[in-house]
Amino acid sequence: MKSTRPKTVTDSSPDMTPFIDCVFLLIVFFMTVSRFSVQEYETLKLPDAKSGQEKLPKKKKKLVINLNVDGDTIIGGRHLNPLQLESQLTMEARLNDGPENVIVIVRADRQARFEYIQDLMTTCARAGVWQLSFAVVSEPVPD
Amino acid sequence: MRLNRPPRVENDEIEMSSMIDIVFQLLIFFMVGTNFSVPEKKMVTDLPRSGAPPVEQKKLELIKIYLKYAEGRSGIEITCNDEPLGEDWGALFGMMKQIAEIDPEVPVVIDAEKSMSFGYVVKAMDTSKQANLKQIAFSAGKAEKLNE
Repeated sequence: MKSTRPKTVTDSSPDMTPFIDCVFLLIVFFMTVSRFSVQEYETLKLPDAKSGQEKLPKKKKKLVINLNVDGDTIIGGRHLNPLQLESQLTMEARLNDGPENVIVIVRADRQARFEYIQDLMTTCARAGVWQLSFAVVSEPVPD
Repeated sequence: MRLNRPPRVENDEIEMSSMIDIVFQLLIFFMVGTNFSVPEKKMVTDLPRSGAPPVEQKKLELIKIYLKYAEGRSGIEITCNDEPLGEDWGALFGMMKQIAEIDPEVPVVIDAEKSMSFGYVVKAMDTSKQANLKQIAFSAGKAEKLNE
């Protein structure tokens, strides 16, 4: 009877399918998680400009400040009032050995009133941070 | 013995579940991977530093741009060194280009009424950069009171 039993074939190569499944799942998982962690970019309609540059000075701490149509300043998903903003800027300057190592990226909505930008600039200047850049898009976005 | 063996059933159906699994995985992968956002660029400017002399005090020639809404808010009105230009961005560019050819270090001071959309201010900034003017500054809001 033993002789009629089919031989157990030892498959030398391991089954890759579940392994690949797992790897794919992990990749997708981490991509999704990393997407959620980047919340410093609010959804805004940025102004368009042709002369925008791609790169910012290297070796500088970049602080992204979002400014929406209503004039709210948002950093990393948190709404800050001017006082909190100033203390945050001062802290960033201190953490990075001086304000010359901090560059503020202002992502302001193109419909935002100019006085909000002026207030923001005043706050930056008061905190001693003088390097500023405005985020723009190269192609005009329809409303 | 051969005759006793049951006839081999030809399985015509393809195994669908694994294929659907893979297709779903790929779908999710590409959905997550695709970046829908428009690439952003930066316009760099420097605020006046404490201790550094303000732009106005350097006794250089100065280009002052003032933006305000035209009557009835139908459009905007550009004023460049007290010369009204209407909404003619081309004329502004031409003026700036002429000055930039003589001296690209002439500072540009951009000011606007408080309710002006930030988009127009960026456009003024963009125009000066395209005209090859390097120093762009913003007024700290005092001009507003003078003009009103």
